[in-house]
Amino acid sequence: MIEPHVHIAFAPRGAGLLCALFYFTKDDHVFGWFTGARAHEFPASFFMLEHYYATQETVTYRSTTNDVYGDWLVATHTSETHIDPPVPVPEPQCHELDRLQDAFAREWLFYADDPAHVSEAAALRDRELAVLPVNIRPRKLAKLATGQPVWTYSSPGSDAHVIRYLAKRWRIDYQPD
Amino acid sequence: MKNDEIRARVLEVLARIAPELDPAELAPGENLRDQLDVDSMDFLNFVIGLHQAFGVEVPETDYRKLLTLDDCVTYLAAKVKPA
Repeated sequence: MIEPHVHIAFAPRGAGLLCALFYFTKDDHVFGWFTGARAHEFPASFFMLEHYYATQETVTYRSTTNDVYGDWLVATHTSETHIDPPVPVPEPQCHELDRLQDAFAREWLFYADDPAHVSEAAALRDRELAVLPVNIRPRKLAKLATGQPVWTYSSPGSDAHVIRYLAKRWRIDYQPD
Repeated sequence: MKNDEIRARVLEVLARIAPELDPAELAPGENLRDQLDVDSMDFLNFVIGLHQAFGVEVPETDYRKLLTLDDCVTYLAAKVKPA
């Protein structure tokens, strides 16, 4: 059974959604997806942290686009190296990533250019919150801890080390504390 | 295990994924997802929590049998081995 974990970071004044991420663990590997702000863009990638929960060295794989079946690269602190097909993620986990990403994005996020979400954009504006190309759905804001300048949500049992590890290797601006 | 015990344990599992849960306000016959804003990720964690709490593995085809608190109690009562 898959036990998914979620991490959200949202800057209510100005920057809006900084990071939206989910991950799950299979054996000693971590699989997931993230999106977040980088300058004025919102790149999104699937990822695999191979052997993250093992004593051997972790290898970080990331999709180059928002397509789990597309091109992938190996990411380190300082470099990214494109890899040839096949996709490094096993097929069952590709399928789960694809399925979970669809549900996660639908339930947590909306895109400002989607006419179906005009009322949600208005709800954010009514609260004087930024509306950007990618946004958190207003009804999900209640889940966020709002005591700090950056509002966050981490689902129960999620591992903050995974987010910190990944944040050193992703290409979005958000860096967790 | 009696139904009251099952219900109490289900509520404990629910409270872990929805800390805002007030058991007194939960309508046992109404949809849990609607009442608690439980999304699909939360629901998967709920199913895992049930597995840990009751030793019952819930196949995906049975998820629709866990829509309400009453549903959960009925389903688990049929699956949990007598103490």
